[in-house]
Order: sequence, then C-alpha cells, then structure tokens
Amino acid sequence: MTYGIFSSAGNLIAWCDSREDALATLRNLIEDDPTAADDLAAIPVTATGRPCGPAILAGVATAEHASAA
Amino acid sequence: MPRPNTDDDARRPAPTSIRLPASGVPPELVIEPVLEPRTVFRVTFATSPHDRSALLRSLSSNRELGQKPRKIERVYGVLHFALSTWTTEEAAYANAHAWPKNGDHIAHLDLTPGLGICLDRPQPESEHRSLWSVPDQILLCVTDLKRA
Repeated sequence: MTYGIFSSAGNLIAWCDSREDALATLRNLIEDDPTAADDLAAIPVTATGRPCGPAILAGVATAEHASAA
Repeated sequence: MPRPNTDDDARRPAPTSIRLPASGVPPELVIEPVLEPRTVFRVTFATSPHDRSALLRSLSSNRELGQKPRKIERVYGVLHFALSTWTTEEAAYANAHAWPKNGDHIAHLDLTPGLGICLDRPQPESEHRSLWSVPDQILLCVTDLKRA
C-alpha cells in the first residue's frame, strides 16, 4: 500500500511505497529534525491517492521503533 | 581574472550529481495553468468563509509556513511552495478523518482562470493535486466550507 507523508499543514512531502518505507521515512525525518515529531504523519492511500486509513504519527513511529530495538 | 569567493559560494553545495530515490519521487513533474474553471478541495481549520485569518493560514504552503524543504521538496523545489488539494470532496473528507490535525472542515475552491493558479498533472486517476498560487489569491476561490 502507498503512503503519503504530510505536514500538519496538510501538504505532501513524500510518497512511500509501503508501510515499512513510510515508517523509515518518518524516522529519518525526525532524526533530521526532532522538533517535527508532532508535525508529520504517514497517511495510507488507495491506488488513486485517496486517504483510506488512520495516520501514523511520526512521534509514534519513532517511539515504536525505539522500544522494539 | 578569478572571481573572489562570496558568501553565496560558501552556501552552495559541492557540484556533485544526485540520483532520484528508487521510489516515492516521480521522474517528472508536470505543471499546468488553470485555463478553465475547475474545483478542488482543501482541508482547513477555518470554520467560516469569513474566518480570513484561519483560511489564509490553511491556504499556505510549507514554505510560506516557514518550514524547511524536506524529501520530495528537496528534489522538486517548487513543491515546497505548493498546497495539497483533492479533486473530490470524498478524498478531502478522508484526509480530514485520517489525520484530524490537518483540519476539520473542507473548503471548496472554485478555481478561476486568470488568477495565475497552477496545478500539477499527475496520473489522471490521482485524486491529489498540488496547487500553486498565493494564499490571498486562493482565498478568492473559496466558495463553500463544510464540516468534515
């Protein structure tokens, strides 16, 4: 499934081809700017780009990765 | 005679080539002007068409909001100046419900030719459109606002 990475303003900053790619992209963005944890999320989208599920918040993705490590 | 180094030289990246990432970044970006009236939808926190302050903020690009360019914006710099919109009301509603932080209302933007507004042209079936203009011009296009 494709994911769009959006800022809290609602503007697209990346497309990702899978959930794993989206999580890695979020982590990479937070590593680059830790203050952006509340400002970014990955939203799953359909083949036409329509959002189709709850967003994965960047802060949550980073925390999950840290606890799994 | 060699040109003296300037501050601009110090800020300029070393002249190395880069590759597009293997995924997530389209190989090209097509931008077209709005030549015929058309409608797109934008998620917003504004609750009334008269809430000018909230609308203007909701109609701003990441660049206008003072955010640095990230990911796709670092490949296509123009996307840093773009606004994400949706071609269907349903997609905008889905966006608002997927991440309520983006907003809880949907603005109908009836785009008028002659205002200098441009949209990207992705695959025809895509419901996402990047839009270029300035917030006060887009504000002229807001014709309706509905709760998401």
